[in-house]
Amino acid sequence: MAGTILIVDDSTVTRKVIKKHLSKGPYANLKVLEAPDGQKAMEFVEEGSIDLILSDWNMPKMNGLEFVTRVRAYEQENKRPEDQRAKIVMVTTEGTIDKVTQAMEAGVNQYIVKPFTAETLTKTLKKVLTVRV
Amino acid sequence: MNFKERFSQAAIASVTDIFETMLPLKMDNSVHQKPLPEEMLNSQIPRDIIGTIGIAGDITGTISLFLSCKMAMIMASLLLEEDIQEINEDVYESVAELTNMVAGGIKTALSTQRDLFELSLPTVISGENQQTHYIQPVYNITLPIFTDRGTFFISTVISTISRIYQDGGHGE
Repeated sequence: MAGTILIVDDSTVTRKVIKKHLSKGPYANLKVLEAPDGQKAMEFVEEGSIDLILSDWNMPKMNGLEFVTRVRAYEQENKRPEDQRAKIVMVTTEGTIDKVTQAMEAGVNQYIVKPFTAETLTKTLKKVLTVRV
Repeated sequence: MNFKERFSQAAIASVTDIFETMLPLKMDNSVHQKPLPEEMLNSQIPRDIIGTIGIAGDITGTISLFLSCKMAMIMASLLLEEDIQEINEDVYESVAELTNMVAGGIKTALSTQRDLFELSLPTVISGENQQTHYIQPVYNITLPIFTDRGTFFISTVISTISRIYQDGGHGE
């Protein structure tokens, strides 16, 4: 399975853990890009095609919710067809109903609450990547 | 159940969840994990590395992890699946992320209808003989977590709290 995944998290530990999980599973061939905040991540989004985004919520400079909102606005402004838009999974310690609802309304496809297992990550990616990549 | 008990229960649930998913440690069930009495707060807690996250909302204060260097290295090694033998950036980052996960778990457990508080970004402090001083906290709930590899502490210091959440109230 090929494609590009963007991991957006200010925690280098979380980025490392996600990369380790990915390297052991069916998504080992995905090209991985990393960003420590939404601002840097937005540059990657504007530079090229990202198939999947895993984004934290609480980050400096630009938080995950604002980042997701901007990604969806950018895709809309550039008239990107629905089936070519990035799949977005929020990966965060924010697990309240309020936060999940806000994220979904902003355009998130799936939601993972930290802490999580490798199995949860793989199952979630399987759900969102059935159409693309 | 009073406020202290609710917070302690939420903290234990949060840590248990972390142990079952990302950090393979076992809680020592032979010991009843309950908050330290106030007179023991200054003497019993290792302060080599402290991870702290601010909380603000209906409740304001901090949620912190207090760890010895040894315990911090054990936890970082398990989290990253690497053998870490010295205090380095990975250890600090691991403590920060674990603090974040513990605080997030507590928030989720206590916020049933709406968010009880918002979380700041975590901060990690390290050095010898770190002392912490809180100005007139409403509550200081410091909970030792006994594991098969050692002990660490979760300390929640509440500086302000909406009246509806105080003892007996559920606020929901």
